[in-house]
Amino acid sequence: MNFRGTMLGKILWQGVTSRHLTAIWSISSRSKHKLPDLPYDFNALEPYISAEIMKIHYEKHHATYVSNLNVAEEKLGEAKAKGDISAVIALAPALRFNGGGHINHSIFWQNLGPKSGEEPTDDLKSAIELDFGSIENLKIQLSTASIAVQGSGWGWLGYNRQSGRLQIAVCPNQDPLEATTGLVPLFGIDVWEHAYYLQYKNVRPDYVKAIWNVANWSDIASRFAKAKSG
Amino acid sequence: MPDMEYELPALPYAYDALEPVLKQSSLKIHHGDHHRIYVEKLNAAVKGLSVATKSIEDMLACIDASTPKAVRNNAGGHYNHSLFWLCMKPHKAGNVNPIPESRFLSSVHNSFRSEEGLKCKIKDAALSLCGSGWIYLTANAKRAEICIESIYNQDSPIMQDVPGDGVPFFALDIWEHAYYLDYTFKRAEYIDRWFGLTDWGFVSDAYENWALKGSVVRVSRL
Repeated sequence: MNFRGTMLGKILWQGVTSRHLTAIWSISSRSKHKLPDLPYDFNALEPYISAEIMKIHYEKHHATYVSNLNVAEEKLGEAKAKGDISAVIALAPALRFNGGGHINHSIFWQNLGPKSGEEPTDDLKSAIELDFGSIENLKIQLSTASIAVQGSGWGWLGYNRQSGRLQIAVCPNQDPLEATTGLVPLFGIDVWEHAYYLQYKNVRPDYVKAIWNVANWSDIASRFAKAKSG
Repeated sequence: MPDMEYELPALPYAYDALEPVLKQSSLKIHHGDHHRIYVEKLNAAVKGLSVATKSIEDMLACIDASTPKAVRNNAGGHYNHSLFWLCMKPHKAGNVNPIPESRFLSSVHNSFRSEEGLKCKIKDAALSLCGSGWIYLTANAKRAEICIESIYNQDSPIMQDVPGDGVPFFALDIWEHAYYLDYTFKRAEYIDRWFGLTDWGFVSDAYENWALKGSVVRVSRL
């Protein structure tokens, strides 16, 4: 193929068209993080979590973590290319915060779903009963831990690969569960005020109580199965 | 000495005085619920403890890593919010709100070149705080130079185990509850508009007559 037949040749010969711009953009953005699709409409979790909160939480908060993560990773690439170790280290907080925010919220949207009335079954139910006595006890313990988070953070039901047991943990800010504790995240409760304030104001316990109505046990069970199988 | 009964301080202005920057309904929740609950929980947490006889200012100065979390978080919450209300005054139309001629203003010019320079740095700090917390301005008897401190949760530089040796004389609440009902995710817009409420007269006075003397700014009547 002669030069004019190549992509670059076509661009230079014909002038850049939007089709070419799209091609260039998609190559450079292939490695960039994207907001995952929400598996339901913004109003699907009502009345437990309002559409207003879902829209802002997803379109603004999560989207900002994604775009800031991309910026941080681009800077990381530049720092690595220059061999600038100091700059690499200085990026760690931004990567942790925005990377953690992206990981946590991506799990969160899957963890939730329209109220189904389902409860855990089979293996997950057995594991919960083994480690917490009952599903009700799990709810009480995870709720208590989540409500008690000082400031911003998350309450988690996690899987401990070493012991093969379920465990509750809390993480501050956007610290991701697995990187911070080694536990595999199964179900997270976002207790940043932005997750509930417009609807529940300062009454975090009411929000945490309500969220159990929209816990997607199929998703939690599938995470558990995957974690157990290594 | 008898135990203290910590009290929710009355706001120095009506709930609607900070409109349109902060709505009456938001202030009612922030003061009447959040701050009130810090005070109630503090009173419950200190029952029977030796710190219970101290003023809130003295209590904060005693707090260290061994202090029970319930005391730390609620004492911090009570003090920080008390200082925050004093840092604001009723909003004037037009949002023009310069720092008065004062030792504080000279110090601002020395460290930040201008008022705008100071506000820019405060805003940068606020936007970089990745969670809940406060932006303080601090100084002390050995350091007239103003420092901007970003502190998470309800901690304060006054506490013994919190880095920073300064006395806070300005406090800006960056917890989401401080702005979410009025600005949702737009923290930057909250800060820009909040500078229209800042009581720079109080801040200048607190800098000169408390921080530079090494004394914790008094926020309580008791």
